[in-house]
Amino acid sequence: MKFMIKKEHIAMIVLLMIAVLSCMGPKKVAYDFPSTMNESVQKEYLRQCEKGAVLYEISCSGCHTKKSMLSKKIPDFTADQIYGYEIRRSNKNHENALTAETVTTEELGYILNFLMYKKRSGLLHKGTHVEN
Amino acid sequence: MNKYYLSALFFFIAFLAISFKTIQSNSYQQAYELKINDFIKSESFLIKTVQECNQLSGTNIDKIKQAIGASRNKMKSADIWLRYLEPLAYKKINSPLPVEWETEVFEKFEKPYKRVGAGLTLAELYLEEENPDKDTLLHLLTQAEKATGSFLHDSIVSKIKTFDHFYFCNRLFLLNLASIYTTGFECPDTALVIPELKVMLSEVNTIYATYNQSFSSQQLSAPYMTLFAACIQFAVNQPERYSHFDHFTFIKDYVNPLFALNQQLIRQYGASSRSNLDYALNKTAASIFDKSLYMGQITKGIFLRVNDEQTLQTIDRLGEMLFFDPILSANNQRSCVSCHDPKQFFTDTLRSTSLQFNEKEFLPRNSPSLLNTPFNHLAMLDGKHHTLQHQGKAVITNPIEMGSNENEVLEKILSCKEYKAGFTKLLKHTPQEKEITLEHIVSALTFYYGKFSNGTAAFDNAMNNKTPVNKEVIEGFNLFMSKSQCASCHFVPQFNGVKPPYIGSEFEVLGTPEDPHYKSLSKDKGRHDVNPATETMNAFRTGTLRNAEKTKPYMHNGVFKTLDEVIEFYNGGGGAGRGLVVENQTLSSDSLRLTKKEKIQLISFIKSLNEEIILEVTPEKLPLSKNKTFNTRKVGGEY
Ligand code: HEC
Ligand code: HEC
Repeated sequence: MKFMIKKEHIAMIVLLMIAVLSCMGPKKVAYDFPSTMNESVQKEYLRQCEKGAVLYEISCSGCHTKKSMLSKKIPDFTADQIYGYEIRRSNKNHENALTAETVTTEELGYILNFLMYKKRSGLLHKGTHVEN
Repeated sequence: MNKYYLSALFFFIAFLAISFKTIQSNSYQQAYELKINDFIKSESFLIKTVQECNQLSGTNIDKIKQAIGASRNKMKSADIWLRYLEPLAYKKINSPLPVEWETEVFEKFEKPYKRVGAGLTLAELYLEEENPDKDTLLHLLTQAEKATGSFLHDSIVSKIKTFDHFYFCNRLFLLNLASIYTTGFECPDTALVIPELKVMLSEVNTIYATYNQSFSSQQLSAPYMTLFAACIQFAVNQPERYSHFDHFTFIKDYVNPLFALNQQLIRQYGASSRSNLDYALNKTAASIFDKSLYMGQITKGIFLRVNDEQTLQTIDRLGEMLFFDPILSANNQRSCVSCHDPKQFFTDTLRSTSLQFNEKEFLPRNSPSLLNTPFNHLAMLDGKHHTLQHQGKAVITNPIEMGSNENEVLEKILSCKEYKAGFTKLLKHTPQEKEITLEHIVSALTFYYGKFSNGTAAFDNAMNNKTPVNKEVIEGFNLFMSKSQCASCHFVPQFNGVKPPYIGSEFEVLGTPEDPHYKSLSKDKGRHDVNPATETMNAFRTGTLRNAEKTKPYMHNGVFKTLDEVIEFYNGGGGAGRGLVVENQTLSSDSLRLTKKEKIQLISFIKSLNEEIILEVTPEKLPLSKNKTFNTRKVGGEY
């Protein structure tokens, strides 16, 4: 039996490449730390932001990341929108999506740091501000 | 001409119909504004009464007290809204204490907030003091008047305009009916507890009616209204004295079933809350006496997103082995079991306080049972830790408890193949962590011991109409809720210091003595260690009474060996009642004047809070380590 490259093989290889590429997951996010932040503090923030990035993906991106066939854009939140624990109650969906049982307080801190320091994507987050 | 009349008539009728409709659809809001305004009027009258008194004595005091009483009734008529819609303003209207230090669910990660109270309860208490002064009294009252006014601001009135808030106001109202409204909490004149309750119930009934008119698509159901009418009837037929009131039946046959219906309506109508007050409460709990009512701690810790049974079982197994494993301690001789033995209801019942790491001295504090710990928002008797996971890390590294350190303990645990393989398998559930951390270890521990808090007590089963309890228990509970004042600190349903809406833990000063003969006050500063302030000196977190019979000795220092001694302590007015100097005692120093029979009834009730705990077989052996010297360690440790 002789090995032959068939059309099907090529199709399979192309499909495989697409699959591998799309599985490579989100590119490493870059951060904008203030230049005045000293290096050891920056290192700690980076550690937290990296955890935050993963947790954002799990708990927030479903509603907040703008996805298209080719790209994913994490919106830029204003400082008001990610002020603190208030965001647990800042809109109707959070009542069920952002409870103590879905995201711990520590994790929420990581996520907020991530959103605060990630490089701007240029996509403004339009959402409700925290109401009282 | 006729045509003109006809069309004028038509327009007139249409005008009437429209205005009638708008009046109707606003009747709920109008009822709200009317009740708030009525309350403000009564406060103004009270303030005027005080201003007109030349001095605060004799008949003047009676006049003022009467005006306070009238104003309290107006407050109670609106309480269902006041307490929920703006809790901070409520602290100025009806605070039980002059100063409260609060650390509520969200805020516990910040420094505790000082809340200076004001309002009707404090004014009434102030009148009892020697030589009360007019300006101080007026200050307490004018703050209340101002705070009440804030309930007419747009920001609050706007919440009244949609139906959602109603079911959450009502839920809090029902929970308070079960836990504080009948107990004398925030009601200095105990003769008025039940009369005020009756006012409140009948006013709430009219609020329900206007609500049903205005929100016809989200009405309270007919079964709810019928049961509420029966509830009012029950209360009306009860004696006026709160010690004779049947608290047990009131909660079991009325309040708790109403709560279940309200929960169902919350779900049916999809009511949604944006208030912090609903943060810990669960929409699916169908009974106040169901452990899922509220959540104080996340026992899953870092594994919080794991929901499949098999993985949870893996975590549980790892947690169990770790709980019994002295490898967590520096000398491989102590485990959690050393001080929290499952066979002793997860505490150390043999000593006042457990042995220190050095095996010579004793710890400063009694080891608490781990049962029902997850129903506290703050862990430890002084509330030092925000989460059980913090607590776990701290005890392992505490030099007088387990004496280890973070790197060493992690290295030792991972030197055991079984642990390493188990936790490595779990890593995929915590993608934010690249390697196994102490957080994974302590989360397995909290998940393991946390599950033993799911037990139910005979008292719960009685409240849930499953199996009845005897008369002595019922009378004990009724006493607990009234004359003996226990329920003003140990709140239904956990009988700990967490009161509705279950978002914070309370700390109280009882004057617990150093020794059972009341020679001196315990030297432990308690909450003061964490949050130094005059009010927090010697304050301790109010413990749960569940399983108390089985978890002796009692109090933070284990000073009392029996429940009888504890009851005697309270009966005598705590430390101050026995002559110790406790300037900030929050427990009344008056004797409770309990009879012998009443003491027995109280203890019977406490015993009905023993839970059915299903213990598991102690592990026979512990995971083997690569390092052979660790493999001689004993299950549960040596001391
Ligand atoms: C040497 C005795 C000792 C050992 C060993 C010990 N504990 Fe404790 N534990 C205590 C004492 C004493 C307290 C109360 C201390 C305080 O309030 O300051 C406590 C408090 C706690 C609390 C808080 C309970 C509450 O009601 O807030 C938890 C949870 C706890 N321990 C879990 C553990 C776990 C898990 C382990 C094993 C990793 C452990 N303990 C090992 C003595 C011990
Ligand atoms: C003013 C608030 C307050 C009142 C009223 C009160 N308690 Fe307590 N209770 C506490 C606090 C706080 C503690 C913990 C004290 C300590 O550790 O020193 C406690 C502890 C206890 C304990 C020991 C729990 C343990 O496991 O160590 C029992 C039992 C108890 N109370 C029963 C009662 C009974 C019965 C009554 C009514 C007669 C009552 N309490 C009234 C606040 C109160």
